[in-house]
Amino acid sequence: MRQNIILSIIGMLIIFTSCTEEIDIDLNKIEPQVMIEALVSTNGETNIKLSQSINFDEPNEFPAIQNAIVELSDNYGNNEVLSEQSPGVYTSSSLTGNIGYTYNLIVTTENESYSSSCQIPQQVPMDSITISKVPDNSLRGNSNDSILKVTVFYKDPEGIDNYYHFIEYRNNEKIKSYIINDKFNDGLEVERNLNYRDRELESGDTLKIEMRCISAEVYEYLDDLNSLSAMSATPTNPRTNIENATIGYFSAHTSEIKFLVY
Amino acid sequence: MNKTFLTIFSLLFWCNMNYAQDSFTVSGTIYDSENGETLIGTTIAVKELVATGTISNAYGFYSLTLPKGNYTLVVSFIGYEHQEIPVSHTSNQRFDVKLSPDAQLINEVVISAKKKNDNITSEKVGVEKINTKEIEKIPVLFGEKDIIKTLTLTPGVKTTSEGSGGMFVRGGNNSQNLILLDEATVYNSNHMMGFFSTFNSDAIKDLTMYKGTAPSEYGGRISSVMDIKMNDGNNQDYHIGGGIGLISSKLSLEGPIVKDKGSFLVTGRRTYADMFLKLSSDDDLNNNRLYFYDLNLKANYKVNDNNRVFLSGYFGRDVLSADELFGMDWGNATGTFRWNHIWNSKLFSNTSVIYSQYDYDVNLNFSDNNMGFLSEINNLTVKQDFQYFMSNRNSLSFGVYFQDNTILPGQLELEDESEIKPTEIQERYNLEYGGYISDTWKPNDKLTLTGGLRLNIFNLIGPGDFYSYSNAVITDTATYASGELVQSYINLEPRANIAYAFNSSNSVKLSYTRNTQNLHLIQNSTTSGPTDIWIASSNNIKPEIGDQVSMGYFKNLKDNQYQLSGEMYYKKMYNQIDLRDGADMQANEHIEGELLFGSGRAYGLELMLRKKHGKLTGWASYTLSRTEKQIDGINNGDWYAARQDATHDISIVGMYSLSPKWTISATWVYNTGNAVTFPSGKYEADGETHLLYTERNGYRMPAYHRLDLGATCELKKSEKFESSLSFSLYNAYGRKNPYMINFAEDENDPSRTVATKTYLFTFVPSISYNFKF
Repeated sequence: MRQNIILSIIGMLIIFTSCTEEIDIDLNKIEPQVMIEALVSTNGETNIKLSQSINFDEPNEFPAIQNAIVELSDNYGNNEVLSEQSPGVYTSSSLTGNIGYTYNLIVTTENESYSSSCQIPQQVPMDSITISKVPDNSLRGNSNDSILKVTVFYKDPEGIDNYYHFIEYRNNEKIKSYIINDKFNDGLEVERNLNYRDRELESGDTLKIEMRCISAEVYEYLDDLNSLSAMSATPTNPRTNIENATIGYFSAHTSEIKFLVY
Repeated sequence: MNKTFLTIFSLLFWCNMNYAQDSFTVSGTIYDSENGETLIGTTIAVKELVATGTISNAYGFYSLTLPKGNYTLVVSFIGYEHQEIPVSHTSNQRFDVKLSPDAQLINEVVISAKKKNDNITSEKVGVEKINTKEIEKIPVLFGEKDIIKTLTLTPGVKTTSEGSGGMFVRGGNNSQNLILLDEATVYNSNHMMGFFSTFNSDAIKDLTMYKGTAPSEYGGRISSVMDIKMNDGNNQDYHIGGGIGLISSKLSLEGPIVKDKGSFLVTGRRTYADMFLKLSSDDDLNNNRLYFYDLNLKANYKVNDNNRVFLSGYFGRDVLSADELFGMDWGNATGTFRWNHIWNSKLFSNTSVIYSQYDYDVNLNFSDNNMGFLSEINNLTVKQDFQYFMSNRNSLSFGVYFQDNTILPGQLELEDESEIKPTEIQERYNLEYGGYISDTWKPNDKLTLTGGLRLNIFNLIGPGDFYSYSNAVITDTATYASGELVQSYINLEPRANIAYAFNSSNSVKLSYTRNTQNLHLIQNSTTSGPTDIWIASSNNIKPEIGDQVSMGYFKNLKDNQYQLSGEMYYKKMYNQIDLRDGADMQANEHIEGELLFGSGRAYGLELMLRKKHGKLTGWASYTLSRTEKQIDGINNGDWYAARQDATHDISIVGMYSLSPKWTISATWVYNTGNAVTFPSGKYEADGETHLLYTERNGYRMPAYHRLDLGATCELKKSEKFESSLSFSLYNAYGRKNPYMINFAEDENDPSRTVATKTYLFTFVPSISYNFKF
């Protein structure tokens, strides 16, 4: 929110006078870093993707890390060395996410070893989702135009910190993701808009919303990813929950999906 | 404490009595003969005695004790005709002096018999004095002359970029500057994100900035002191003045309450940038508001020869809103009541009661919820200052102060029924009090010594819940009742100056100062915005401490026509505050848990050549400096360049009078780019490209440079009416100085990433019309 406020002020101030152009900046070359994206979900998906970072001026092709040893276990004694299904993508044949279980991940590449653990929190059920056409009152919007408003309804459990990750798909294609905490509405019936101004749906399109209950560490990571933009005075890498790694995350979460045909 | 003061008092009077046997004292107040304004910093020299003299204080009062004999006092002030006053050795005498403004300022070189060499004789080091008359001709953005913008053209003072308010003095942060307007603290010295300062130059008489050692009467910030005095108002006639510019206008009214006895002044200013928005046919824009206003009020009344009272007030506010959706306003209000009393020809006192308030309010309307953030800081100060002019070689100042502060940091408020719960953030109360004493002694004609000591006691008091943290996790909670002491800090701040004048055009000065600060600004954005949060010292936050050593060499050339100075400083700052990565600032009750602590150091060399007289006036300044921070938890605890660190900083200011009618001017600035954090690489997460950072502030923005041109034309001048037209061209060669640099995927080619710069102003012409009658 803070970022948005400041962005809007600056936006308003420079709207008339500012110009933008490409600039050549001499950036340092860096040692490639290991990027781990690890997901264990109650929907049965267990997917660990390993890739490498590259220099800023290189084309966006991120080399996969092949032939790593990826071990996943839970706190009930189940344990598996994952197999590499496609270059850099490791999947499980036996382990899936269970509510309340804690999962441990160990990734060993040629030079280094990385580890992390994550617990799947209690599931908060999504009551319903709605979609409606409303005037565009957003900052850059025009109230004569209308936008599509998507709202999710759920009851936040009182007394515990809850973190939510919503992912929106249009006809099974991922559009956007949103993260929400209960800092301002602990224990309340929540009616939450998924704010996205450029949402476009045609009659007959299927809107799919996935609601994930995530851990505090994963929320922190995703929040950092959103807020530590270049607008921040001191941009940094998102805080990772993987030990020994600079970047990456391990998310063990619940998953619930609702569909709506527009 | 009281006992100490009593002892000092009696000692002083005893000295006085002894001394009185073979000497006498001349004292009085210096005024402008035309409008009755008191003149601050007037030189009172004695023709017959070399290196004997004094300067008038902040209320125009002077006192000079001389051995018995006949003398001629020479009273001089820049821009005024000097006056000679014969005095003879009888008893103590009072001479109020009225100086006439110099009719032909331009030919000052010819008229002024004695050029000023205050810079040599004063013991102070690291001081910039600006008289509003001096800055009238300097070109500025949108034609609005601005004392703070002028200050940033002097060595050791800089801003970070266009559109980011704040001033960084000798490596200090912008929250570490004490800004006083008629003694009241001003928390926000900028309007519209730093494009304008909050000080309307029509209302300002005098500004003194202390970059080095400030006198002991000032305290509370570790970097610098900016002491701004408002005009008193004309006590002879009524006058209306004003200015009309492209985006702002101002008006002032002044006049006598009782002629020669009292006067008042009202000045107001408002911008109307949003009027242009209204003209826009685009609905998105014409519902937006963006303006600021300020109002300065002052009245004074001379009850009798020994008593004078002043009342001053300032109100300023910025308003910004976008349609119904988002609104924000912030501002400062201050009020000061002062009573000057002259006890006798040697003892002057001032009693002040000061109120200052700053608040900001953000309103958001989204998802059918109205919510707002409110932050407020209030303080009330009572201050008693004495100046005792013991002899012509010794003067003493001392005083006591008491301040009561209430701070509400960023509370979330809701208008009505809402699915969002409000967070109650507790108000915090604290007291700051103490005293100071400072003595200036001239053992001989060449040497001046000043020693001072300031005591500051800080008490954080209940009611409230107070937490202890370790790595942002609460480890302990304690609840205190109303008035109960939670935490107290006691600090002693020693200060010293030594000045040695080899002769009337050469001197060296050395100084040391310690300052402490109990009010801290927490900020986490590129621009220093109004939503930055002020918090006081607490059980978690220790007072910031700054130690500075500086030395300077001053030389005047060609009969004081040129002033040359070189100063060096080294500053160490302790208990400096920064935010944890990804800290949550808004409406966070546990903001103290999000802080990291460390230290800072800054050092530099400042060179300046100034020409104060003649057709061509101005200065060239160069600063070579380094500012670094070391904070556990950032950059592996290694020292790193602070954002405001700029290796080279050059300013050149020139004003040339072509004729009595036309004056042209130019300024050129250059500085090394700020230290910034740029990405070094990139990686892919969830199918999207993200930036990879390796080090905080490891890169530099491109160098900043800019040329501004200005011209002022004095229109027909008569007894009753005078007016002028000012033209300026900002960024005359259209340098595209980056305001920010963004790293992102190329919109046209998602397979690559590019850096883009946003720049603000290239070639901004402006015209403004100023009048007075």
